[in-house]
Parts: sequence; C-alpha cells; structure tokens
Amino acid sequence: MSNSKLKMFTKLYLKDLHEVTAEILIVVIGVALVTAGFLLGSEQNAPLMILPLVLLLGLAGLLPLISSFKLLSREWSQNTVYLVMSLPVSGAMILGAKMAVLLTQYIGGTLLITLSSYLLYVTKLSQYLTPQQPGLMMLYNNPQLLQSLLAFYLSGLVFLAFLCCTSFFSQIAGKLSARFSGLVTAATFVITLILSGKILDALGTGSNELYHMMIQISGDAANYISNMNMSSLSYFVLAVILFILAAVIYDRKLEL
Amino acid sequence: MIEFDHVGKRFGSVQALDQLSLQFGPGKIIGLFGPNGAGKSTAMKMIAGLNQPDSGHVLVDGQKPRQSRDKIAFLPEIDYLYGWWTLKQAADFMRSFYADWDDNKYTELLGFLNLREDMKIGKISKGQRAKCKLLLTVSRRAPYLLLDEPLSGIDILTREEIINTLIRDFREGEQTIIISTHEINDVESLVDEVFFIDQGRIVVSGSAEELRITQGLSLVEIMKEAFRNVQQ
Repeated sequence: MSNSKLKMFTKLYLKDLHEVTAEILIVVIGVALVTAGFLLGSEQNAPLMILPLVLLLGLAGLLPLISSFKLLSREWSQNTVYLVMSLPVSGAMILGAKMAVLLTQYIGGTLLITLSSYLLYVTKLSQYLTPQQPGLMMLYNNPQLLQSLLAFYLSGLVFLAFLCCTSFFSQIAGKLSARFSGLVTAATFVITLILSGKILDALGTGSNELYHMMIQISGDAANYISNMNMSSLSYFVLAVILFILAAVIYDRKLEL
Repeated sequence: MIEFDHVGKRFGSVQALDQLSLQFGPGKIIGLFGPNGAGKSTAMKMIAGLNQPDSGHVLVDGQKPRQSRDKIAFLPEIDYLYGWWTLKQAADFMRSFYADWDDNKYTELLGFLNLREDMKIGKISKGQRAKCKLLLTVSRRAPYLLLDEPLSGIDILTREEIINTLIRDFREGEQTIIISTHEINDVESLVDEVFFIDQGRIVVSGSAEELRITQGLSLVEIMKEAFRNVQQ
C-alpha cells in the first residue's frame, strides 16, 4: 500500500511549522500586548497605538523571510538533511512544505494584526472619523478602498513568496559549494534580486513602478489595483521560476 | 542487486572513490570495512542517493539510487533525527513516508531494545539515540538496509543489543544488509561477504567464511594484513 502524497506533505508541513514556533510566538505575543495596551489604556492615547501595530505588521512581513533562511540552513546545521534527502519525495514537495509554512506564518501574523487593528478602530478610533462609520460599514461604503486593500495585501503575499523563493534558490545554489556556501548564498541572493528587478523594470512592472503606485494610493483606485495586479503577476511568475530552479537543483545536483 | 561500475568521486584533493567496481548481491549481510577516509561512507551515501559519482555509475536494481529511495533504509553515522521529536513522533513521520513500515515489528523491537515512545530524541544518551536510529531503520521491511558505523562510540552492551537486533530480524534471502564499521570484531560472526576498501579501492573481497578458511585468519587479522601490504 503506497502512502498518499498529501499525508507526506502534511507531515513535512507540520514538522517545518514546529521549526518556526518562536517566530510565530513573537508576533502573537506582540499583538496580545498591543491589544491589551489599547483596551486597557486611556481613550486619548489610542491613536498612538497605530504605530506599534504598523511596526508589528512590518515584523510579521519580515519574519517569514528570516524563517526561510532558518528553515533550510537548520537542516544542514543539525544534520536532519540526511533524513529529509533520504525521503522518497521530490525537492518540490520538500520546498513546497517549507513555502506553505512561510505563507501560513505571514497570513496568520497579518490577519492577527488586522483583527487587532479592527478592534482598535471599533473601540477607540471610529469616533475620530467624520462622519462616524462603525466597524465594517466604512469598508462596505467604500468598495474601492476594500479592493485596494485586498490588492495591496495580495501583492505583499506574492512579494514575500518571491523573496522566499529567492532565499531557497540562493541557499540551494550555495550548498553546491562546499567551502564558500555562505558567500555563494549571499551573492546569489543579491544578484537574483538585482536581476529580477531589472527584468521587472524592463517589463514596466518593477519595484520603481510599484513605489510610484504605492505613493499614489489615494489616487485613481481602479488604475492602482490594475497596476498592482500586473506587478503581482510578474513577481508570481518569477517566484515560480525560482522555485522550480531550486527544486531541480535540489533533486539533481545537491550532495551531502 | 547494487552495482558500482568504475565509480570515481573526488572531494577537493581527496580521491574518495577510485574506479570502484563491485556488486552487492541480494539476500546477504555484507561488511564494508576499511580505515578512516577509505571511502566507506561515500559509497554508502552514494547508494542512498545522497551524493553522486563524478564518473562511472551506481545502480540499485537497475535504477539510479535517487529513483530507488523507497527501497533503501539508510542509517547514517551522525544524528539525523530532530531533537524535539519524541520516538513516537519520529515513528509517525517515518510511517507516513514508507509503505514498507511494519508496525508489529516496530512495537516488538521497541520492547526488545528497552526504548519508550515518549523518549525525546534530543534528551537521551548516545547509546539510546543509536538504538532509536536502528529501531526506525529496521522497522521498515526495506529490501536494502545501509548501516553506516552503527556501533561507533557505543558501549559494549548496547553494541550487543544492536547486533542481536540485526541477527534476530534479518530476513535471509529477501533483504540485503550492508554494514560499514571499524568494529570488525563485533560483526565478524554476522557478515556473509566482506569488502575491505582503502583509498577508494577494493583491497580484498570475498565470502567471509572462505577468507577465514583459506587464510587461516580472523577478519580483523585479514584486514590488518591487507592494509599493511597496501602501505608497503
């Protein structure tokens, strides 16, 4: 009786999820502290709570990238790579499980912060808006704002996936060199990011364009969403290419 | 059958395997002996698909090793299990990947080796970790069992337990066990066939029984003799 691929993937996913427990806890504890701070604090200080939430949002976005380096490098430093590489599964499944963990980490963290922000809004901040719009009514009355926020969120998710794929690709390329693994990883990471930026700029969907779009967030929402989606699509395609390259090198070239 | 055909492998300036050609026949316990740096671990990792030849080729039942990973149960010398795992978690993990995992065998050996499922891999002694690794490897009914230095750094009582487990569990004719070790004395009675290798080449090989009879020496003495001749 053969074992199902889904079961194998789940086992790999749960194992990798355990490896990033500390990073997940950092965000959860941070959000809990900030939420408790504004729920128990005075009304006057409530607007100040936006700052730690924004900082936490940045942290929730950054930690998965750090985790992407930790997830792979730990396999080598703790010799568990001997177990992982002996498994009768492809590199795509091994890296796919790690990627799923990083996306879970990002989605879980940002949703938690969104929930906390919403709580801050309904309990303390809605009074500052004119006219007052309780809770989700503000989004309901501004469908373009909702679409822009969703497009922005998805762009963040795709950009993170792109960075994590770049991280996987760089680390696996680095492992091909026995002596200068760290150096090759760092160089590959930087070069891949620069080359990707050049490709996307040539296509008109690069980081500069993204930056201009971001500062025009209050402008033409429909145009902004369309451009954001184009940019996300380009990053998504690049992420897929880098992921496939990393998986192929893992399967065919990697040695212990 | 496992075949090495003119296999070469170099790590920097070190020639780990040098035009190595050999065949490991099915259904036997095979000893791969040699000094440090002889190329034993490189050969084992090559069969497990963890590294690849620079020249020549390795085949496991006619397939490349990386395509035969489900047929091979590999026990590396180093600790390769997650330290935060309990033995039960490690067994659950292995069970999900290998269709040849045998729960009855696992439960039986768990008691035989005096191990408990709630033991945390990172918190037990080296000897217990060696037994855990062995348990997880031999609980599979894999056609090929690769044991790289399974007795290294282990006390004599644990070594005995490991060897008794192998003897007790070996399915003659169905399974091939390849043991690489320095502790030749401990496995002398266990092996059917031996390969002495040095600097990536076969120095002496053959049936353990025949070698003992024709040379009138134990396997340890045969190895000493063979390597003395190579060094001269």
